[in-house]
Amino acid sequence: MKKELPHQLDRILGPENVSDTDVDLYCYSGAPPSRLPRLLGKMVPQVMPDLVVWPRSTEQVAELVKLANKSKTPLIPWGGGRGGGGGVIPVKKGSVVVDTRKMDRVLEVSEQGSFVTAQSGAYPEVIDSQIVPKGFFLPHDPASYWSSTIGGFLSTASAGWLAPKYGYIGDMVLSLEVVLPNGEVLRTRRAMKSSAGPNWNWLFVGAGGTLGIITEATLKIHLIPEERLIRIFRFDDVHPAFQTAFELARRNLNHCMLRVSDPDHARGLASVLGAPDPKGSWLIYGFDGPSEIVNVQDRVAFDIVSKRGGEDLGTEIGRTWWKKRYDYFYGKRPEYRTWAQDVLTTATTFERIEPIYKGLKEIFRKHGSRSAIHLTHILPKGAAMYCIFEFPYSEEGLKLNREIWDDGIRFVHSQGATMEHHHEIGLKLARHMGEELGYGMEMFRMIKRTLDPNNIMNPGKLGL
Amino acid sequence: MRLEKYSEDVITCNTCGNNFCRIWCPVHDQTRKESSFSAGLNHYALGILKGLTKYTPSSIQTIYQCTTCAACREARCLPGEAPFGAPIDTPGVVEAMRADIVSLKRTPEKIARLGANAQSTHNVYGEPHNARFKWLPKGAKPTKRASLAYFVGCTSAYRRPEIAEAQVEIMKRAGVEFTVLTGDEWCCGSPLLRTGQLKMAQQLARHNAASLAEKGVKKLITTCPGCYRAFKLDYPNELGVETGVDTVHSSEFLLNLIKEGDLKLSKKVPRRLTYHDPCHLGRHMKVYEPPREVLRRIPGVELVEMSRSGKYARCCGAGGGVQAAFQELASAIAGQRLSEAMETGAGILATACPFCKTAFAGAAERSGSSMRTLDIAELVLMSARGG
Repeated sequence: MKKELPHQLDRILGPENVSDTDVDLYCYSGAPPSRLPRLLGKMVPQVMPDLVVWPRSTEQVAELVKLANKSKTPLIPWGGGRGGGGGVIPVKKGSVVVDTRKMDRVLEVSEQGSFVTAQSGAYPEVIDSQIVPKGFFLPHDPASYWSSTIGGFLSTASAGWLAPKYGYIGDMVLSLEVVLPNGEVLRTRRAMKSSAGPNWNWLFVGAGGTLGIITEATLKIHLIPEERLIRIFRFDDVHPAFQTAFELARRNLNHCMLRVSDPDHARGLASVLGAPDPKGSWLIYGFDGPSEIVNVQDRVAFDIVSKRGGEDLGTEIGRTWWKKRYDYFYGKRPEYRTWAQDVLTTATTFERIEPIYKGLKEIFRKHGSRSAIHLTHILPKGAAMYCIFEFPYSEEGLKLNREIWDDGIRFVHSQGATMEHHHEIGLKLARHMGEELGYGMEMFRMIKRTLDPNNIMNPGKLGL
Repeated sequence: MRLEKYSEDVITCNTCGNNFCRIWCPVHDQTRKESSFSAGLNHYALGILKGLTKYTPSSIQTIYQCTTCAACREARCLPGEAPFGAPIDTPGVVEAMRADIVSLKRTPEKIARLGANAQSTHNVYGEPHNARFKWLPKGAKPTKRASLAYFVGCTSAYRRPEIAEAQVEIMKRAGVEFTVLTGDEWCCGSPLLRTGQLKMAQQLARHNAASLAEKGVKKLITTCPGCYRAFKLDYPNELGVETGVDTVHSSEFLLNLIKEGDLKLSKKVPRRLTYHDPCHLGRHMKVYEPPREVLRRIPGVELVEMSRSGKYARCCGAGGGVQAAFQELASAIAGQRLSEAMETGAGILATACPFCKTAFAGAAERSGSSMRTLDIAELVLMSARGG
């Protein structure tokens, strides 16, 4: 970092928004002990950033990026800092962390247009606090709702529970404002579609802050539905549950949620809900909207599932599950901490799901790792598979974790599926990006070199 | 190292990474810093425990910026059941780090002054000890020796005497026989407990315990939640001082007086008001309902809740030594809470803590708000005077 940079940043941002204190540098570094998974602590270089800054406006971001570009200073865009892939860990000396969380204003709420424009550092509940009183909600509701920012959601291509009906975070984008690595500001037009060349919004969704810093987003919002019904069914085995769910998805009943838990996952889910071990699989579907329509959707879906052998467990348990939906993702007290957990999420079309399920289950078994698998997002187009697998809390366990990932990803790639449906790639899966994207990785590098010739934007992430 | 006592909490927090704990953190709301909220503080604490980092001027400052309000414990921290276990005790972790910092003789100057004042003047404000009961009305003559005592506390005695005056007048009206410790009342030690100055706190506790014993006190009333927690929890658990005294907060005591018919609330107080839960009364001691019940029993009062209330109430910003050492931060937090109170349309912000009252009165003055902050004792007295 150039000596004069802190002074220049003080001038642009105000000294209270620039920190080189050791406590800040420590808390924004990936140095172990890390709040990121321990395995990451072993994988990443221990580099402290030189500075942490908190801009408040797009103009400030543009100015600081221009300075950084001139001095070739690496910038690490920071949202909620919660992504499990280490995407915010500085890997180059002299880095400056750009914490976006003071850019948290809701700039516009349009009831007629059904959209909200917010700065990228806004937490989702800040947006909800402005739109819920007007009868709207932002239907992006992932497990990280309480810890992520809008910019973080976009940069990691996040997926919420209600994606089958309302889409993923990228689908909700009407327009974006991005500060590019040369300090220029890109503002895309507010339109749900355009035939005027490539859709640049999608260049930045899932790019992990490697191509620019998202500073504002205009997102589609929806009227709060009159009713949301969630029903759970039990199946003796996972096969009929999978096939029934695919049938429901093909019928395109406009479900807001459709999930299948294998017996291992259903057991864990049931224990958190205080229900007995189902000794079988669970299928969960949800519909929301006007009650009259929801009732019809439920009736049609109910018939399909019942005819295929699903045993109705009712909607009360569905309501409880929804209420407790954030309660599965915590740290653990020592008495429960014998095993660490990691998650592989893949996605593909229906006909490949069962072979992949069986193949991954076998890989986990072969490595002596217990696994619990569920299909989290079943859309008319295909399904996402969420595999929780365990490994011991030890040096050996960390090696095992890496082997499982390598075998698992090799396998899903052989099946034509993606290695990651909705979690951050960051550093954790960077080594597999070449396999994942094929020549696409070379294209990604070319785009990166063109937009960011000095490689200042979050260097070292996503295999770049 | 006192922090070692909390190593299980620190390690457990570091296995999480959810950061849900930031959602109610009043300090993070202001600073937006990773180091400000529970997960960041526990991240740093693990670094200390593992010898990877140490107490530095900036980390000491950050550790002392926590109000120890305990909102993080309620903010989607580990649900209290398997496979998660109970929430992380971050206020405990922070106070342990502070105690270690004090042991290393690295106490920030403004914090150390609280301890020095308590030692020389027996109150944290450095006011003359003989002025502690200056507010006591001339006609008021508490019994010299009684089984019931009112412990005034430094803040009511020197900064908010109207609360003490109201409490005493209420007890007189209700015909309650009580005593006060007068010259033998020293600071309860709460500000020192919260800031890691445990040795000094223990001296104060021993003195107060002896004074209570000398007066034959069996039951103690406090109008300050800090004193309440100190006597009830910290004296026996942290400081090893047994008083043998049953401590109640004034909200519980007032409710009992009203319920028993010893205090008649006859004058209408036709006002819309909202109640702010003091952190040390609510989250720390789980006293949520008695103050509300007292307010509901005042004729004419319309009680409305803020969007964050009960265990989710935002801190006033004054706790944990923050008011003493970081006034700007404390003021900003108080201002935010005052805005939440104003959103309810209430004209009075009721609370049950002299620290909170001071914080909100200051915030209202700075913002030009007409919102009045009153302690429940003052509101009760308004109504009781009509009888």
